[in-house]
Amino acid sequence: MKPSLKTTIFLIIGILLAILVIWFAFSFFRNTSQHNTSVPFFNFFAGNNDTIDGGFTQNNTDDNDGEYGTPSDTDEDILPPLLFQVFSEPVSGATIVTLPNTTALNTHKSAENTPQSAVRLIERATGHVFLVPFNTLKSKRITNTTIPGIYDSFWDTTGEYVFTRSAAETTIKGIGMQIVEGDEDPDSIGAITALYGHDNILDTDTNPSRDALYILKEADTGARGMIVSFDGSSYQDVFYSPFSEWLIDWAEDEYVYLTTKASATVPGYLYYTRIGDSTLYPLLSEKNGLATRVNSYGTKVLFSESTRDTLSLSILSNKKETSLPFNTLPEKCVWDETGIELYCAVPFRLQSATYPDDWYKGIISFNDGFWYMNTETGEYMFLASPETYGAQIDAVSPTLSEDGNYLLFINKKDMTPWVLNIAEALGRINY
Amino acid sequence: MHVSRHIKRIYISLFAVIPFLLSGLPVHAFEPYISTYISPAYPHPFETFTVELSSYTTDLDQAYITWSIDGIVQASDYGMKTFQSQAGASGVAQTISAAIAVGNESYIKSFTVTPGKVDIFWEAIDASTPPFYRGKALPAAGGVVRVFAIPDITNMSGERIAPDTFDYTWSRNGFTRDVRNQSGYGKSTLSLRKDILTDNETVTVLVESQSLKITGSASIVIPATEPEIIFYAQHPLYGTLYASALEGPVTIPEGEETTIIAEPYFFSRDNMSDLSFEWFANGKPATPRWDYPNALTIEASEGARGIVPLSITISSPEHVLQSITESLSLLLQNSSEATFF
Repeated sequence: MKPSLKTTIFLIIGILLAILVIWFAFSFFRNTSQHNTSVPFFNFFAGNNDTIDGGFTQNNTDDNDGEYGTPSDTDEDILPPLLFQVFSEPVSGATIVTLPNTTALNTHKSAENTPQSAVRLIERATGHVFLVPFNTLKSKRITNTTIPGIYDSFWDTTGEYVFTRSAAETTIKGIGMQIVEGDEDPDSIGAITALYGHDNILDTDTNPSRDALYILKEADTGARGMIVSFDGSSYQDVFYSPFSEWLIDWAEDEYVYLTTKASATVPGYLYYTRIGDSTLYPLLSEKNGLATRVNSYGTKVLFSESTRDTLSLSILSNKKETSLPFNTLPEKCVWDETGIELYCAVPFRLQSATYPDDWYKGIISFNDGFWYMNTETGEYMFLASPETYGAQIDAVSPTLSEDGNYLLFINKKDMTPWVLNIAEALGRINY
Repeated sequence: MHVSRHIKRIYISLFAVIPFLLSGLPVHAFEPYISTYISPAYPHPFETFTVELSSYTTDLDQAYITWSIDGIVQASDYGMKTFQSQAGASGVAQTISAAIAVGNESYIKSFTVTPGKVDIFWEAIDASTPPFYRGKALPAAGGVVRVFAIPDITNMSGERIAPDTFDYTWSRNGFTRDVRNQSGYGKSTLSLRKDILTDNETVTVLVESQSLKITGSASIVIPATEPEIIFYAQHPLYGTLYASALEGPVTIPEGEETTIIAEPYFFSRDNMSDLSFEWFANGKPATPRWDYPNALTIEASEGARGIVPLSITISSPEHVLQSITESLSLLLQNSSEATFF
């Protein structure tokens, strides 16, 4: 029987609707699939629920080569949230820099003529350097020189020079580099140039003004320390010790602080030494699992020690030790430039473990919240919970921006860089 | 002949006693043996220490004992055999005196306490750890350990005495004989190989300045440690993911390959080639990567499914007790089709 015209029209409309539904479904699943592939590989292997949810502002590095993108496909500036991920791929270190207006591509009228903060970082997979201004959160590739295998990096205050470290079988090698930006053409790509290298590195740190490096290297028996300018133009041997297992903290320009590497049941020691002198002056001794962080005046030492299956955090000041109201490892904290205020990533829960060994080995991982403390007044304050932003964070390498408004750190779980707007969290400034 | 020799001895004894008779001090033909015991033996600056008197020849419980510091009486009582005090600053001497009166006789025991602090710590110089490991390397049986002493001792002027001007006497588990050749003037380090039969070893150092009459001491226990193997994933672009140790079962998606790193902690070695690695998958030997013997790459073939037990034995051929086997299970989609290379 021949179908009527009405039936034919209904049939055609039905087919069109079906095609439309299939097309929508295909688009949806394709997008979902693309999103999933951006989840870092190692979260999958972590065997826990460390994957990062997409419920927060997350920068996308795709398709941004050579130009700024916009998170909402517009050129409008954005207001970053209190806590935000700067780059969605693992990095080998990052630093906060201040951009001149011309570089920031600032389009926000209220912010015109004000310098903008940005993060300069090294993508771990490629060694490429990226810039992520806070007012857009869109990444711009600055260099395309591929350097795989960079583990971490130390930056000068301008972000122009960087000292990168990589594993060389059982030792560490370092290379000082200069980042040369492209010209004013938005499509121009710069380059990264190797300036000098060091082998057999034991530990590295920058001075407070971040214009020089302190490199501790293996000696024939023991360790020797040297000060190297970031551009490699000068270096000076300043220290020798028959003991080599030091972690260094160049907290003051004139003094370097040396802590013995920590294990839960082994007594640890903290010394300081004047630059150019190898005499060790004791500050802390016989504290199991000792880890430290000294303020930039050498007047306060934040330290943790192992107690049974947990750890405790204290401050040494005027030869007096005071326990803090929260417990974490000092390397998850940073002193502000006054040497009084502390910002710390503090685990919500310290599970029973061998501290700090198990955390160093990656056997345990923390889920941190962020705290502020004034060590003179004793005032302390909870700043932010990453879980509010759909993330789980185990923060390492915390640094403050020069203006003290931002806290930059790396999430140890996936090696991505994050920023906490501490000025906003403390209610100190408005945008 | 014999008689004349005895007479000569008597004359000599009399001449020796005459000065004391003239001075009016009591003379005791047989002074009782009174010993003093200080705990700790070498107090640190500002550390509380205890002095105790004991005697086998005199009943000190019946004695009236007066304790003084630098000539100033601090305490006194019958039978007060112990006295507690606090050491002064580094290098500042205190003279402690105990005047002991028993019946009609009295004796004085005096000694000087000059506090000096000595730090002692060690490093396991051949213990394996990953290059960026921030924790302490621990010594396994047979591993080489270097011990360091850093005296923090000042003179009466408050100036720190250079560590290389002291005399160091090392002892190991209470004996100096094994390490005698490493003791001496300016010898502030000691090297030893960790005993394979002793779990914890105690190393003590005595630090002395003969000219300044200052002595300090410190001891440390060097624990025995079992080597460990910890598994990590190696990402082709990011390197070994040391932040997250692997716990089984590790899922390997179909059609993908994964590299597992077995990281040796605390084995004695200079290089990775000093250790031997034996991989087993499904009970059969598996061949690691040629360039990294502690790395095994696994490919999950299409349609593969199942659990594969993976294990590795890492040994130090030069140290018989440094051999550990560790296991990890892999979740593939078909274990029989997995390829190991």
